[in-house]
Amino acid sequence: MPVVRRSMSISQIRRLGDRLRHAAQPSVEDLELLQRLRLEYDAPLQIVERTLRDELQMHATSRLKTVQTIIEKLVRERTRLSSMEDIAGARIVEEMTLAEQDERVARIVAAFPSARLRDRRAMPSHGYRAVHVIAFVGDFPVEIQVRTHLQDLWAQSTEALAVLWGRQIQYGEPPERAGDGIVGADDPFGPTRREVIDLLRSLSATIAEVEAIGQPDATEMVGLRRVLERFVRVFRRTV
Amino acid sequence: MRYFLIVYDRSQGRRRELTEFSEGQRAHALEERARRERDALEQPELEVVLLAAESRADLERTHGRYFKSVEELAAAR
Repeated sequence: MPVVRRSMSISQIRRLGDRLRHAAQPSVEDLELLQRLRLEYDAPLQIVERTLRDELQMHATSRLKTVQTIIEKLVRERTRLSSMEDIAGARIVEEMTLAEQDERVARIVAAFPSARLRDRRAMPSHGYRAVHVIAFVGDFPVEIQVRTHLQDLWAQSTEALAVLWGRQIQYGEPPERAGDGIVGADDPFGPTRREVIDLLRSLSATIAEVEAIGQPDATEMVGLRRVLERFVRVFRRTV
Repeated sequence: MRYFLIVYDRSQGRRRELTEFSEGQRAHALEERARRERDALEQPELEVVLLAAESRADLERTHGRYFKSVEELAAAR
């Protein structure tokens, strides 16, 4: 694997991260520095894309994080810019069992020997479940997310609601105007935003139970379908 | 790989623009994304994202929220 090095020193990157974290509005110079730093992750990301596609025959999509979400993460989590692991990321979503997910993850880890594993199925992050492999290409980490369809359904629905009701819902906090009824609801006694988020979190637990079964039987699938139908019914009136 | 530059309005939860770039245009797509990001600096509601995928169908599967409402996301499964 080719050696890929950063052009900025760790301390230069830390100082940039500190300025971005504390600025009410980032300066044009710092924004350009951040864009230049992010661009350096593109070569490592391409190496990961090629490895996943050509060596492992996996269908992945990829992206470099937006400057806006990098800055939001610096402010929210106190993470140092120099140690942020998801500036470059790839995502694999497939219809698969947990055992098949484990098998794909093992093949990815074998392809990137210094990789680290974050299993958010064992320790969900406020309902979020997936497996993340952090591959290292030279100086650069690249996060590879491996999700089943159901894990992805949950994650993308939460992301879509986070856009509308505040990103803090992804980190266990209540939505903005938590007591408001959901937009467009025709029933004045319909669920509030807080109740929708509670429903979403219970859906994550239900998905985890069904996935743990491996090959769920008809009764278990009826249970999941009921929760999903309620989910769809509520969300039909949400956006 | 093909590249998809998306301008997404977070206040509306809706995609405003989608521009596609071909296999050989990765550098151009990255430049264009950086330019659009600088233009949108004063509009925090706009998310300027560049995604790479073998096909649009792959992208709709892994980043469905840029293409579907929450209801459609749920119904698609």
